[in-house]
Amino acid sequence: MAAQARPRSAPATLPSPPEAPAQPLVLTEAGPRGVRVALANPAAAALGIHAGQRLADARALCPTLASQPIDRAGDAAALARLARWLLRYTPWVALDGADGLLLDCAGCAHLLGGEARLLADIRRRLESHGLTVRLALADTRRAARALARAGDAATVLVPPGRRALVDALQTLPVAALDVPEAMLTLLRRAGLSHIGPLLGLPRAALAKRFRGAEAAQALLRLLDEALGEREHPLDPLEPPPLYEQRALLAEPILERAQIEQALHDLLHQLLPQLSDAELGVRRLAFSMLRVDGGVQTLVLRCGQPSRDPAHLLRLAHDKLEQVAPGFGIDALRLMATEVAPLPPLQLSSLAAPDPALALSRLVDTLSNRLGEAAVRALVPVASHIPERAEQLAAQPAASGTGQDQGAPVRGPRPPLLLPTPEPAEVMAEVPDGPPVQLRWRRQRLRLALSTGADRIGAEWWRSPDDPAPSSRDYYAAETEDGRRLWLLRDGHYGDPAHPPRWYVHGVGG
Amino acid sequence: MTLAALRADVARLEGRAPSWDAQPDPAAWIWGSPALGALERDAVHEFTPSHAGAMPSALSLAWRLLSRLQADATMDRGDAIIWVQSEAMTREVGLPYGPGLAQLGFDPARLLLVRVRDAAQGLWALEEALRARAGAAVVGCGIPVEFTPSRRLSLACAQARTPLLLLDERPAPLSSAASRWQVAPQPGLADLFDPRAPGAPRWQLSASKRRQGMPGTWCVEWNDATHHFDLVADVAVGAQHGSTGAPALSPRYSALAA
Repeated sequence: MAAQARPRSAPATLPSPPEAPAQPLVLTEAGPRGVRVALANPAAAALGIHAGQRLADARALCPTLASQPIDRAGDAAALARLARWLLRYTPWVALDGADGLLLDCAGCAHLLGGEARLLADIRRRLESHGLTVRLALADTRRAARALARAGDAATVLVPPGRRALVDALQTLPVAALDVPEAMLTLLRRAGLSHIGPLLGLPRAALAKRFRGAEAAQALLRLLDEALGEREHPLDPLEPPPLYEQRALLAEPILERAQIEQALHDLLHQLLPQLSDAELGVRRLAFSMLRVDGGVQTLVLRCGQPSRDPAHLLRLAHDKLEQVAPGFGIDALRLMATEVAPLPPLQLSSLAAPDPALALSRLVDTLSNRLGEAAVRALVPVASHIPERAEQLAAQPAASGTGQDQGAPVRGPRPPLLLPTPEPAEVMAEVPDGPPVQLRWRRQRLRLALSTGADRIGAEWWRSPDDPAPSSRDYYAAETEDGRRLWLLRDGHYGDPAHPPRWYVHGVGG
Repeated sequence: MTLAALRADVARLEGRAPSWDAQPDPAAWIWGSPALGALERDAVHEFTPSHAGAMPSALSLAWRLLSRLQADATMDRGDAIIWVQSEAMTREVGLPYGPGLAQLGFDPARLLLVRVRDAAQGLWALEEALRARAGAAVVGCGIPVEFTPSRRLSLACAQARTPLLLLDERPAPLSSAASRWQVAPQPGLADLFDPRAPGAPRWQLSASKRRQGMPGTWCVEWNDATHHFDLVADVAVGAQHGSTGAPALSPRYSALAA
């Protein structure tokens, strides 16, 4: 089944007040040959104004014509927003052109008490947003699309079955099937302007009648798709999640406690499904659909797959603060968008506290609030360049066994590495070794003890074009008052091309 | 009821050992030096650098103290250290560096680094980390803690039986920490085998408040071989490195000679 809602002429962002008198109104678009009419409302169309006409010609037909520039990007964004909001009815929603939406509502209609009530509900809600809607529901997507765009009635419901479908399509113009323009001209010359006579012709005759096998095949394909004899898959807005629970609420809710309770209920419906499949949640999306057409989605991430409702609720609790319910939330979706295998736990292992599990939960809690980049582990990397010998990575799964141990370290290393080496001004130089006195961060430091040099060559394989990659000399030093520094010398004494420059690269020790 | 019983009751309510000279809790976390006594495992301990620029030195002391805790972490709590650091502190002293930490005897693979923007986030992260009971200790680095939050964190520590170390340059005038220490770097002796190289690091520790043990001032030195803090005798403190041609004795032997 496919249903189609088509907001006609009025952009979705511009609700037309229903009590306003029907003034002729056009939306205009500036083109290479002047300003032209892009869309005309029924009052304007009744005066003979049509899309593509020059605005000056339209003004000649109706001097009181009101006009506004069209906002195609805004309309597209509004349509996409509307599509996301329509996910309340079915997970399969796709955009259709600039002004149409396709919903696959197979298996969803009974939730609202049948197809007729589903269409009535869609119409009521969209009209309450100030949209003009044309709806059609039929067995195939192409038929529903043709009926919505070219049908007589504002709501068309085709009962299931091929006969009903053929009957509904009989009187529609062929153009409603998206037939290419050239083909349309040929058909018109043959006197075939409606779908009905076309269906009556034998297929072989139809194929022979038109030169160019491809064009005839394309026409037959469109007819097959309309009658459901050929698959015509939907390209959904977002891939429907594998595990999903939804709730349509009788009364819109506003309070955080109510939202939390609803989430609690949905979690207790969703988690048993996952538990049966021995899966745990890695990423959970919780969408709140508002009465006024807004959608707000919270995303919860877990480092380790989880099936614990208390843990997931706790993660959500911190994020629910950001929810703005507006005039109320009346539909909720809970989707497990990323799952991972999680074998069932034995009850005995739950009794003893598990530090690894507690740590991974803490990581989830912290990174959901502070951002993932804020919670990191120190992971060694096999490089002898000090700043590359370590990276901040997501928390490793288990305790650090069997992972990369990094490059072997020869000289002393500081426990604190500055983000970048900070230049130090040398006040008393010694030709072979670290300076006796230097100035760093506006402080004068006298070095008492030092060890070095720990010479670290450049990684020549990283920059093969550099003929002489510079090496660095590191010194670990202690000042007279007991502070420890890790000094870096870049360049050499007696080398005019590379005079030595001093930096502080690490502190503590 | 006798006065002694009343005192014992008050001590129990305040969560400290019944008397000053009582034996420390066997489960406490000890410095390794009998004179310094122990740190409670279920309380907040504050460490303040003596002056601007001494923070790296105070952090180096904290890591060595934590490495002692990691070494005897019990299985039910794991040996992870949750390290919460503010962005302001990162700008000043940089970030913990694994290869350097490993040389101090601290296992960097068990460090969870949490970077926070401001004090509010930092306090939240510290409390979450304590309540999770996920690690051997929680550390707050560069997070100012006023009296009320410190009371709150103390209660969380007691509930989770996890110690919290707070390192900040500007301590609040009042705190509910079980102990408050001021850390000053001290010039150390030269290495035993290289008279020009730095040897074992030294600090001067001043306790202004302790629930277990007496306040006081000590000079301690880290012993890399035994993983203990050794007390440095006054004579050895006075001995300056490298002033004479002869290599200086290790502080333990100096203490013996004194």
